[in-house]
Amino acid sequence: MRDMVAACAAGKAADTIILDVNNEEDQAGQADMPIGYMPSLEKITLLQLDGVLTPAEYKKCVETGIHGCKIVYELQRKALTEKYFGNGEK
Amino acid sequence: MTSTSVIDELKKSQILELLEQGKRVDGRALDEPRKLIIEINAIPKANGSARVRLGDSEVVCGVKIQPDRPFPDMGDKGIFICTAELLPLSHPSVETGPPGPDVIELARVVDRGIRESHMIDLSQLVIEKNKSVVGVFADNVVVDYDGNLFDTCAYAATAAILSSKTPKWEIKDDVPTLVEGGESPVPITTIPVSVTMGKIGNYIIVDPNGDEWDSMDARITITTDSNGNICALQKGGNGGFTFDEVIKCGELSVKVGSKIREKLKQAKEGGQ
Repeated sequence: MRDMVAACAAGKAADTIILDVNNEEDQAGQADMPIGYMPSLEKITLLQLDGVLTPAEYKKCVETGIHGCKIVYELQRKALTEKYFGNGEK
Repeated sequence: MTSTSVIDELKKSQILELLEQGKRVDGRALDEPRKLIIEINAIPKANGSARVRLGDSEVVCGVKIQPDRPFPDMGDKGIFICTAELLPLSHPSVETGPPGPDVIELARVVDRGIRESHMIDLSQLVIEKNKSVVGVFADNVVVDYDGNLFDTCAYAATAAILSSKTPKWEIKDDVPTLVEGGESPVPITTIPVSVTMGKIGNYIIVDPNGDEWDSMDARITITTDSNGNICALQKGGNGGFTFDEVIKCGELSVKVGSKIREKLKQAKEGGQ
């Protein structure tokens, strides 16, 4: 296996770039950007955007989303490691 | 539009070899879109229309404007819907019948770019709040295929909307009734321009033609508005983009988009 894919959404609400847009933020928000990312390969495999961002905000939004994907990736890794390499499991 | 024939594999290696020398199969620069020809009011009976050629891809877009019921959660806004379909005459591989996933995606990406830019001021298209609003329907028909239908359809729809005149309706006896001579241009706030880029190997190319389209690993379509802001984006294809590539594509879409926006403006002014 070369890598795992993790996903997270970033967005913009109240003129601020935020991570993991919840329902309220999405309804009231100005932009929504789901990202799929493979951290070891450093590849963005899914990217979508709805809503208006300046080029600077766009860059920050992608950065924020990738940051979120890395957090999710670590959680995925941890869950798998504990399941298959944890105590008492074979 | 994707096939994995032997010819495609050969084409891909040729395209890649050329890219390594900084060249493209049709002699363009990597960040150069194909020649764009915009003819507006191509269908005189429609409320607005355009015929657009981007290289050898050709799309006709007609705009129909008519009263409609608003969406339940948006009673104070008019309706905008953009569709796209391919005619069998556009390419040997296209058959009649329901659209495949790629054509459905095409319509959605084109619709989303225009919608998210808020090109049309839908709040001005209300006849009676919560009861009756004006619907703007832009229908794209692909008559010739040579890659990058996303941008060809987006330019056709945008040009057609820019050329559109909306009739006027008033509520009489609870039904929207046409007011003679009440025509006005569709309220426009911005001109969205989508720019589609393909990734072949480690190269990013703007406006892939048919051969490049079949050879590319991934694509990205970015729509910018008149202020140079990014308002919609869609990645497609199996390959991935690096962070730097995604940022570079954003910059390219603003740069290339501003030139195309001038052409759309010129076409509109030339047609009036």
